[in-house]
Amino acid sequence: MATIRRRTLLRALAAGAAISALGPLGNAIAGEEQRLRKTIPGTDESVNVIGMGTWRTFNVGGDPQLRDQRTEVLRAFLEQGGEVVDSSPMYGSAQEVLGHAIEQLDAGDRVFAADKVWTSDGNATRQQASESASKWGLERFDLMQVHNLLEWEAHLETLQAMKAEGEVRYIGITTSHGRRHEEFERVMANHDIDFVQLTYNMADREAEERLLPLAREKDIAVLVNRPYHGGDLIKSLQSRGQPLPDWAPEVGCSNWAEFLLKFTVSHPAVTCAIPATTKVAHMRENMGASRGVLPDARQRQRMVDYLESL
Amino acid sequence: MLGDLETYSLSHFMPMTPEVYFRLFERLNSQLWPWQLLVFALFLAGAEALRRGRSVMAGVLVALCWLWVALAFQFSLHGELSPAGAWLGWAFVLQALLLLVAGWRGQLVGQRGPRARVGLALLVFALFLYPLLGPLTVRTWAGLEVPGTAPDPTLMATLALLVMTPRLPWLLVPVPVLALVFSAATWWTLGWEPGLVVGLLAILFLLCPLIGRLRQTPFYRRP
Repeated sequence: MATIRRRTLLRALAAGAAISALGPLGNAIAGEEQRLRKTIPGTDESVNVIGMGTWRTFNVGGDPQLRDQRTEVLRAFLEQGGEVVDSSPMYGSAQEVLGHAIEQLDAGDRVFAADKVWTSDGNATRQQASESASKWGLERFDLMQVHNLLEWEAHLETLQAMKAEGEVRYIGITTSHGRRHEEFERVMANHDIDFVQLTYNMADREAEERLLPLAREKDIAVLVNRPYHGGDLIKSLQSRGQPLPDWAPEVGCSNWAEFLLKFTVSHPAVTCAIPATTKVAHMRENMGASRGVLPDARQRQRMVDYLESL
Repeated sequence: MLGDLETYSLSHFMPMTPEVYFRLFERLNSQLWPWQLLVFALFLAGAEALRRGRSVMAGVLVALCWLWVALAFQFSLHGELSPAGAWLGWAFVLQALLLLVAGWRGQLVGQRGPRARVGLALLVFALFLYPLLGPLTVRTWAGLEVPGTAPDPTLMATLALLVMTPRLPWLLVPVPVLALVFSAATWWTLGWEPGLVVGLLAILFLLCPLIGRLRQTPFYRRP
């Protein structure tokens, strides 16, 4: 059973009685300045539907100028109600840079800290988790995932023990770029995990076929990486000056970032998308997708049809 | 995992943004100033020693530059961002040792002839023209790649010196050629197309032995 942290308690108090379910979206909740939140299946804890990834963007090493810039990105994220932050030992110096930013902003209690185990040594799970926590400046993570299924059997077994001992609140597995979906599905079906992280966006909807339905069936929360298809999708749309459809306001979208992100997070199985950015302005655009309304199933199909027509 | 290979591209192995990589050179120059001028002078002195047939001196001076790049750039700045920094750092240390051995064995002496002229042209490009490509395109003057402290001009200038020798010391070839190929791939992945020239130079270097069939005359004749 996951324990309630100070951050969760503050969010709940702030949202108060204004929290209400949003019909067909089931677990989407609007409140606290109309921010969209989704419940982690099997719990009464919810998170903002837009989180933050750190692949490439937070790997700036000891560069003080860029560290300050990334701190401002995190500040903008938190000011807009963001919570879920995801990193990995694979991301170079990203964990340390995140730790620096969290320390500067005294934000240890405001982030939902998600990290990964990424080592082929199946006996190194605890050690790597401890090293990662030290880099973030945290005592423990909210979520620890097995990165890209690397040595997943051994790591998952240890993570389950760590969860039972209260060393981590949630555990999960990750994949990206559509890799190893069959094996991923088997782990989801046969093991006790709280989260999965996978790639899902308007240009890559393979996860809709089996993984997302299975996540709903098994009450597994879903973090979505690459919601902009690695940035290619939004850059292509913006550089070609493609217009939003006239009906974009009906689905709560005023720019392409909101259009793409709201499509992703409006899937009933998706808990949170974690786009990465180096710019405060882009972060604010991303967080715009955590306000207003989410498209329903009919509107989602209309969004797909529109994108395919471009 | 092997079944996933087709889903990977070079960009999946690039853990940083172009902005961060470009900033490495600005930070390198900022941290070293004004010592990069001395290191640049060391490399020039090494080239002059090679031209004059002072193989040991040439080996020592050029090896010092390689060690400098390994310590100041690869292990520290680049190594913070990517495991490739440490791997390249050790490769640069190895090359420094090989340069010392080649110098001691008298292999680093200049020559006359068409291949030497090609080598000189490559050297001028590596030392004086290539560093300008960055600031003249999208990068800053503060991030100028100074030969002797930044890897690519050092790699290219070293290959240029090797072209000038009468008998190519092949043991000195793999590290700079492979490092240049890696560098070209890095620039391409980061979207800085002018950087592809470092890969072209590596290819050009590999073609140089063809020129070796032309008549060569050593600058310096042993007594």
